[in-house]
Amino acid sequence: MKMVQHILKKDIRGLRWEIVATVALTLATALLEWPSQHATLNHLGQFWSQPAIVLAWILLVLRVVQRDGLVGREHDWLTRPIRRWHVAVAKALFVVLFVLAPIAVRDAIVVAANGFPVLGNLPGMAWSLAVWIGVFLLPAAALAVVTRTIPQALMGVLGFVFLASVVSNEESLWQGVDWVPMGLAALVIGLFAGVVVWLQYRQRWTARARILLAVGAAAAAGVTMGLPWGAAFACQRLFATQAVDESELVIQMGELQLGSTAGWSVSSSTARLRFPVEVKGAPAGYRIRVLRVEAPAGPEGNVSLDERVPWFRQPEGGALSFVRVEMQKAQFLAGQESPARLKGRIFLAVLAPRAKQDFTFENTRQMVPGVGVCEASFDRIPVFYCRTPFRTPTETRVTLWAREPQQGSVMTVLSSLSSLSPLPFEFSLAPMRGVGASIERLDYSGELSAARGLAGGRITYETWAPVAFIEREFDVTGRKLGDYRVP
Amino acid sequence: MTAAIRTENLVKRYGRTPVLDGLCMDVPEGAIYALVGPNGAGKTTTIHTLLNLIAPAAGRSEVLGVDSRKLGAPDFARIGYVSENQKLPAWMRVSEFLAYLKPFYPTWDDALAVDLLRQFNLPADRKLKELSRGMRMKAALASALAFHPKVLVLDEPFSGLDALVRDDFIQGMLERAEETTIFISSHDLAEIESFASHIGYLEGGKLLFSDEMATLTARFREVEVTLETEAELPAPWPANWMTAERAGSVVRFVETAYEPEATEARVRAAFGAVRGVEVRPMALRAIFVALARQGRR
Repeated sequence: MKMVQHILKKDIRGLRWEIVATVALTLATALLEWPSQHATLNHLGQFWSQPAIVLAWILLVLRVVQRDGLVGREHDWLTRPIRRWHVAVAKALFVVLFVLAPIAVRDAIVVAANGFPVLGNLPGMAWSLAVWIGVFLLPAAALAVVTRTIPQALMGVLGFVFLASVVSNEESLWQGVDWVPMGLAALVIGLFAGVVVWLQYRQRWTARARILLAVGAAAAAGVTMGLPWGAAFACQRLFATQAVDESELVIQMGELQLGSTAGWSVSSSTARLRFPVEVKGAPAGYRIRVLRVEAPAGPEGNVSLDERVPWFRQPEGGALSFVRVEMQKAQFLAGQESPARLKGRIFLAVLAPRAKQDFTFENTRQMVPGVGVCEASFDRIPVFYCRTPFRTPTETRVTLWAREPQQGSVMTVLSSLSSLSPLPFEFSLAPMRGVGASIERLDYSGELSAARGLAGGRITYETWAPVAFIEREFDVTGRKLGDYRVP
Repeated sequence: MTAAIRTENLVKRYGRTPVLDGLCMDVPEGAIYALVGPNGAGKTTTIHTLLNLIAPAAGRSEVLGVDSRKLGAPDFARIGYVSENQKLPAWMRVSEFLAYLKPFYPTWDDALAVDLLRQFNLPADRKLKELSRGMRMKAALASALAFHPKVLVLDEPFSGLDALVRDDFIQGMLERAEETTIFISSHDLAEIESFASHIGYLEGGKLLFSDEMATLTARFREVEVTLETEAELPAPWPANWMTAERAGSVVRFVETAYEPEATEARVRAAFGAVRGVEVRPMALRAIFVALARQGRR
């Protein structure tokens, strides 16, 4: 241990300015998460500062590991009576002291400053640190032990970023269960990186270690891109907390709501159709989320995005989603008078009601138990915004009730749950996870202004949490095919 | 005499190119052993294999009785190493560098370290990256001598150093490493000749010979034979004679197994009647030039 301390002190002395800069930057990012920060400013700040701070951490890891480089035969320390495992432990301690500890301190400061209990958020904090280690720090250390210089290692970092961007393009297809492939990928790359670091400090087999790291990166990408949806969903089902009677669930062709055609390109040779698939029959007070619809019998189908059917327009006790289909124009014209029939498989999340809380609306920040710290902004676009540490708030509906004489409600869906992960952590670079929604005017006809109709009114928060996950086959018929064509 | 360094059939290849081809070498304890040879002969690879910086494809080597593949921290506490390509922690000051190394060596001698700094005129408060190449080599040597190593391994230590620095370096090394086995690879034959006790000649990954310096210089002679008439070179040409040259009736060659009477007898037996035979001792450099030429043939 004495030698470990000796090596650690040497690294601290040699990298003192980098340490000061990185720790200061880390702690400074706490300011961006300060409760008084305006939400927009907060987003802007995070957009720039979080990648910068991650780069600073990665650079510090690269610098400290390459101080006693392992690649090549020219490093003086390789022929000194210095045990490699002493060096490895000293480097690990350095990272704990000057990367992980400042992150933990910053997170604790941010959590406390936003009015959340630090102790109660320790699991989220621990998961967050574990993910930092697996996704950033171990891969950075692995790159550092298989490269000679910082530019070489940074090329590797760029490679990882490119791979991650390719992989994250697939993220939207996962509809809430993305935590399964992403978690697996993080686990795979973290494990491979850990083995590479261990192997290099133990044997200095650089060529093999480089191959292993590349294999690890490819395996992580492969896991993410190649994992069948069914496997991810099966994994998600392991975390069901409640048995739900599925017998009452009905799947049918819904009423036509064509609405937006965003994302559709026009082609003269193809016809585009959009079928509403409706799920009904959830227990009273429950909500259904359509995660995915597979219609393998026809051309490729995709579930429409939730924004196409706003959450508050979803039927009570059910869900509406769209399957988009492209077919040959000639084929469509020949069959457009026939009844539409859609066969496939649907994957659902069942959300059980959790709490309904009423407050007087004061247009100030408000701690809502089970939801987070929430506030409304009535600048140009009325926005409602809630934040919680380490993961986004649970599925929440917020209703603002204007006070008399302008009675009525102004409703907003705050959060359609972005992740079904059972973990107390969702991947994000910032400790606070926020979710905002623009306020939809419903029954209230007055000016949408906090000062005028809403202040002093009531605000209701209703929350739901996912409890069960259902996979069902369906075979539904609707009107004639031509009725579903997107103009 | 026991061997401080030993290799047995050491083989190392880079791709399909053999760099060490069954190298067998013994370095006696207490010797100053110079490993010489042309560029690409495998000198640095030999040293890297000895110090467990690379693994051999076959064969084995040992330093101070320990298999090179198993050399660990306690063994490196008895081995000093200085190389022309050594990457020292450039950001450290000379004094910081020595202070950093001290706790790793149970035999570290503070007084000796101070003496070495003084002897080498090393500025203690200067960063290693601010030192000239010669000064950096001296700092490396000081750090390799300050713990009284049993074996000191030097890889091309003189390359790029001016004459004055070389003298300082050699003088410091010889004065401070009296009981140390020194293993040195070098191109600088003139410098080697002045202090090496043993010499090995490596070419194409093979040790062509390994001898005590005195034996080597006694064995090699340049022989000039003046014949009575111009004549063909004798066939077969004796195996111990290298690099024959003929100019008219004068034939020159290098005798590699010189014995005063026997050599003259062999000359007369090979050429018959000769007008004169002149035998001249050879400098180490001339010996290796001859060996290198012979090797190229």
